[in-house]
Amino acid sequence: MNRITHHIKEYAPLLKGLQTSLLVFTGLAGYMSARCPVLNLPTLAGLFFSLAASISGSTILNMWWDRDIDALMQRTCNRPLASGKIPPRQALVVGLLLSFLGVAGAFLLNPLTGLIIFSGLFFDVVIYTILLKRRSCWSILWGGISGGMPILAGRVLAVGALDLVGVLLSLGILFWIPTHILSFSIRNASDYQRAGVPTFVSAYGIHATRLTIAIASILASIAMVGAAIGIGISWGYLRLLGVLSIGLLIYSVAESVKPTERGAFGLYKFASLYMLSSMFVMFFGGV
Amino acid sequence: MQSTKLDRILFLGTSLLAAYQVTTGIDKLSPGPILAFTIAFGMLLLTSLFFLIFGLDGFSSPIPGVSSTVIPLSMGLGLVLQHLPKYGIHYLVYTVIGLILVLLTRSTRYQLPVHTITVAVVHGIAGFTICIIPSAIVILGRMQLWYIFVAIGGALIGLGGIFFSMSRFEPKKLPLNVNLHFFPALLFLMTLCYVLGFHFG
Repeated sequence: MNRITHHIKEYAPLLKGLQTSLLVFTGLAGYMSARCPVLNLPTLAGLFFSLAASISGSTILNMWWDRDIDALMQRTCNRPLASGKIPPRQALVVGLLLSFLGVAGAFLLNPLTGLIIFSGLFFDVVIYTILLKRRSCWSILWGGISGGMPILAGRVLAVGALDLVGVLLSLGILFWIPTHILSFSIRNASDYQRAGVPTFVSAYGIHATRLTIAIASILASIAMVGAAIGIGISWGYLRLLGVLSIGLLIYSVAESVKPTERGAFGLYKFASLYMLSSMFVMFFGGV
Repeated sequence: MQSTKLDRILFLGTSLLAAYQVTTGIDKLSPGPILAFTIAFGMLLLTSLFFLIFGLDGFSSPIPGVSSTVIPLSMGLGLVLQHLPKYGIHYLVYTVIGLILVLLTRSTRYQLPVHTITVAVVHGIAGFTICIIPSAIVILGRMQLWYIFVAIGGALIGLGGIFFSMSRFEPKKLPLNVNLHFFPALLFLMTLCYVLGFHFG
C-alpha cells in the first residue's frame, strides 16, 4: 500500500493537475453546451474518464520526450523525469497505457469523439512535442489545436456531429492557448534560450509577442461569444460573457498599446479567469 | 500595500455577487435599466477581478478612478430609467457630461480647486440619486422594505468616495493606508446591499 502511495506521489507532478483539470472541464462544458436532456450521467462519466486518461497520458508522454530539455530549465528541472526520480521507460509505459485507455474509452462512447480525442493526442505528442517544439516557435499553433480538441470532443459526443458551435468553442480554446504559452515564454525567456527551444520572444521580439497575445485574446473572446450565441445561451449569461469579453478586450488593448511586465501578468491572469468563467457559462447558461 | 487572504476572499465574493447580479438579478426590468445596471455591475465585477489579480497595489493604476465614476453614474441612471423614466433622457445627458468631466479632471496632472469641485458635484449628485430614489420608492410603498438596501449600498459607496477624497485631495486628512485597509470590506458590503435590495425589494 505504501509503495502504491509512493508511486502516486511521484507521478502526480507528471499529470500537471491544474492544466489537465481545466482541459477536462472544457470537454465537459462542450458536452453540457448541447443542453438537457443530453445530460446523461454514465456518458458524462465516460467522457470524464476518457478525457482525464488521454490528457494525462499525453502530458506524461510530452514530459518523457522533453526530459532532456526540462533538465536544462530552472522552471522544469525538478520534474520527476528530468530529475531522474522516475525511470523513463516506466513513464513511457504509463503514458502509453493511459493514452490508449483514454482513446479506446472515447471510441466506445462514439467513434467520432474517439477520432477527435486521438487527433488531439497525436497533434500534441507527435506534431507539437516531437516534430516542431525544438524547430519552430509556431509549434504553439499545434499545441493550441490539440488543446481545442477536448471541448470539440465533448460537443460532438452530445450532438452526434461536428457543428459550427463546436468549431467556435474549439477556436476559442485555440486562441486562448497562445496567451498562456506565450506569457510563460516571456517570463522564462532565458530558460527556453538555455534549452535551445525557439520561442516567439526569441524569433520576433517581446513587443511582437505581446501584440500576438493581445490579438489572440481578442480572437478567443470573439469565438466564445459567437459560440454562446450559437448555443442559445440565456440573455443573463450572455450579458455576463459580454462583460467579461469587454474586460479581456480592455486588458488586451492596454497591453498592446502600452506593454508592461505588470500588464502582461494581468492579461495572463485575466485570460485564465475568462476561460474558466466562459466554461461555466457554457456549462450552466444553456441549461 | 499587500493584500491579505481576507482581502482576496472579499474581492472574490464581490466578483461573484456582481456576476450574479449581471446574470439574473436584473432580468425582469426593461431594456434601458438593464443596460445601465449591466454597466454598473459589470464594472463592479471587472474592478473586483482587477483587485483580485493585482491586489491593493492596483490603486496606482487609473482603473479604480474610472470605475469609481462609472459605477455610481450608471447605477443612478438605471434607477432613474426604472422609476422616473420621464427624466431618463435628462439624467442620461448629465451622466455622459459628468463622466467626460471627471475623466478630463483625472487625466490632468495638476489638481486645481475646480477639479475637486467637479468631482465632488458629479459624484454627489449620483450618490444622492442612488440614496434618495430607493428610499422614496419604499416610503411610497411601491417596493418592499428590502429595496432600502439599494440606498444603503449608495450611502456606502458615497462614504467610500468621501474617505478616498480625504486621502487624495489637499489637505490630506486621512492616510491612504487606512482607506485601503477597509476598502475590500466596503466594496463587498456595498455589493451585498445592492444584491439584497434588488433581489428581495
